[in-house]
Amino acid sequence: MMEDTKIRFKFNKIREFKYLSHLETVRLIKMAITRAKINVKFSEGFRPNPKINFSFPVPVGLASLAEYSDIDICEKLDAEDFKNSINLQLKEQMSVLEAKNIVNKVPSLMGDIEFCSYSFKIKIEKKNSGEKINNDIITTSEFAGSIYSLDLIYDEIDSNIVNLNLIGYTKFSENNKIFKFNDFLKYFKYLSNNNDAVVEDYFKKEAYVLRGGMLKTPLEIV
Amino acid sequence: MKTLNFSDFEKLLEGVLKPGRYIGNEFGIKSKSIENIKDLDSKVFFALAFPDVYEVGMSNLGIQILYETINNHDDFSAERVFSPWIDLEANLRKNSTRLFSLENKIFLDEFDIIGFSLQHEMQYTNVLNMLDLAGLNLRFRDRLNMRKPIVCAGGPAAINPLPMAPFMDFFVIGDGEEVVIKILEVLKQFKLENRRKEWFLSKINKFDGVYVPSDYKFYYYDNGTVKKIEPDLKVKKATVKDLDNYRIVTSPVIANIKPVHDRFVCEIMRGCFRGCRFCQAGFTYRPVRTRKAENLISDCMEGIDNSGFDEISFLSLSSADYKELGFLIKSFLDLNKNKKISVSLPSLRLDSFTLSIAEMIQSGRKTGLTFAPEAGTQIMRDIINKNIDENEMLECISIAFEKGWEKVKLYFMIGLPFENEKDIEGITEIVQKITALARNVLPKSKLGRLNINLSINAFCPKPFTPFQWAPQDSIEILEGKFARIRNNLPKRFVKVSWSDPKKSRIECVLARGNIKVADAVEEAFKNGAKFDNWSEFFNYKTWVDAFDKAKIDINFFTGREAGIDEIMPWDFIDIPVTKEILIKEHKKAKSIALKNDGRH
Repeated sequence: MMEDTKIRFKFNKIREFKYLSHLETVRLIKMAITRAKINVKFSEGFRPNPKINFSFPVPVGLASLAEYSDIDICEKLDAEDFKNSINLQLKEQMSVLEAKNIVNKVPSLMGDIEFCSYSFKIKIEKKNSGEKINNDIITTSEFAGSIYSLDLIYDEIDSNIVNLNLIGYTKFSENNKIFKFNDFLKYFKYLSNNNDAVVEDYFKKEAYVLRGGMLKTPLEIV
Repeated sequence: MKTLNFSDFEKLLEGVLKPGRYIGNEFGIKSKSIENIKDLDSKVFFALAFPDVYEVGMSNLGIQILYETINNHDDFSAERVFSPWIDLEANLRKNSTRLFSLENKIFLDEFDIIGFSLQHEMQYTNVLNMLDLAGLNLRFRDRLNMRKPIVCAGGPAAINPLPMAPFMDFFVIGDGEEVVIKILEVLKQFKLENRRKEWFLSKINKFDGVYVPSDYKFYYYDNGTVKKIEPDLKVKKATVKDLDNYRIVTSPVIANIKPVHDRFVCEIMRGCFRGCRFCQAGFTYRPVRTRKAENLISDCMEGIDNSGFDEISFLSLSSADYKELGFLIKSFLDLNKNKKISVSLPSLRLDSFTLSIAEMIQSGRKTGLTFAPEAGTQIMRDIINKNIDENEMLECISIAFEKGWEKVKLYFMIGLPFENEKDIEGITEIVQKITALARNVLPKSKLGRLNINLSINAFCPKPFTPFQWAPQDSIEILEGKFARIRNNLPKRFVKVSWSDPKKSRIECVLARGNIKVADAVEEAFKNGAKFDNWSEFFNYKTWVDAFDKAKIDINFFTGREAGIDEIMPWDFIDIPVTKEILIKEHKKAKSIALKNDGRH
């Protein structure tokens, strides 16, 4: 009997590769999988498609350290071997960071992921600008209802550098809205500017699912 | 070497629709990394420039061949640059940033040499736009005091180089893969020994395929025709003798965003036996050279493995004439049984024999069959030497319907030499015959899915063909002929598309232009012409105004029948089909026309 494998993997998309759209990313990952001679399962039907599912698209231009994908493979394959062989076919700016064999059935990534975290780095001129920006976002901004948590962390060496860690909702419910990154970024740049601060960097840091009221990464639950 | 840094690169991409076009770092890139080169002067840097967007250029086989050939050499490094789309162009101009290469983001004017690949005439203005975006003077005479970059062009639309000649230091006419290395060897010496540009050009103009515009002078009669070309020396087209000495590209660069042809390409044959009298490629790519199927099978397997494509295209001008086609495709499919790989044959001439090949490659989903009768009557097809028999074609379509095909694509040309009413009517008659056939053969349940795509193109007489002397129909006549076809077509099942005759007219004047036409190309560019092959950009008025301003009569090049004994501007290029052969073929066409219903 042929043994099947399901693997969940996490990949990054940084530097120039953040400029690829979701469809462009999917095409390149699929081609890399073919080159790596990974025996991927195909869907049945008129136009068979490889069974590879991706997490929700990240906006073009936003670097990410945490894109996820599930793949169905027609043979027994260790996740670590999968990672090593596919990374030979990818550039380090878009490559697999971690992979795990899926043993017990898990819900699809698209349906399961409820939060994404983002990191913003700003340079401030005046003391307390960070707190002011933080407060404006969670009290008066239209984004307040789409933010699960927001933390302010001062850089240990340079006190003019402030990091904001934001966790936003990716799913709509009665109690919250969906966090829209591009809209938020526009507002955040405007807000920072009004507080003599400059947005220096930002990226998507992680994606989370909910298990027993706790935030877990999609790889922690497999 | 000056390069664009990453933060400036990011600023340029703000608001750009498809930034993936410009990021580079694809899987399979082969250019040298400039950080690792100790002595930059010991290497020659070549910018392979393609005057259209990334998705189009990355589908071009010539670019992939030259990229691999040059980069396989230790002393040479080739990087790619494509036309920026209008959004990036606006950002480049706004920020006064020069155009840059994809790999190392080297500014274009920093390269030792820029080589443009000219695929068709409607790309000429994009070439000038790229030179302008590189901050370079357009005309070679205005770049004489600069040692670099040297600017050259090649490719199928360089076969008559004259309308682009004032902009180029030199051209490569014909196959590039062999001569490019010889040229770069000389360029390396030019760089190391700090030689003059004239020295470089006088060395390379001895090579087959190299045309240096400053070597030639043209003299004209008062009526505008050529009186004399000096010196009386021909530029012989560069020809690769044995294609088997040049492997197909087995590790192509994988485009980061989906190219227009997203597939592995295997060139099985160069040149064509057929000799259709309207077809420029049929004459200029001679002699016919083939690759051995045996070698191709293993190279294709390697290529598919290296690239990860799920489609392969066997490329040639007429794949049905490739003797080992059946063997090649069957062997390839057998070896790839367990993979999901589809095969495409873009130039398969269909008859009862090749239909079995079409069946082999479309075994699952039958996508459609393409026929190119090109003309509506047998006489007209004889005149143009398109050897397709109507009954055979209809029989083939009938078998195809029986085997389950429901989609047929048909290519025709109008405005052909010696054409008359019957030829125009003949086109609609063929379509009517096919729909009648479908009603007979296809069961009622399937008839509804019948789909006949009719593509009508205006004939554009081209240099180096037996019709190079022929006048092109005026826009009004072409529109009238097309209207007649459209009005008489069956309404059901048939979709018709047609090329803009205004564009064909500009294509014609550029294809048959002399060196003066370059003034109009420059005017058109200055008036905003670019991406002329994109219907949303092509502006006929811009071109008409440009020709007016340059005081050039378009009709002299398009609507006039040239004398057989006239010196053609491109006569100094040896393709090497002789002018005598073209004249002989021209006379044959004429005598067929005269023998039949007294065509003029």
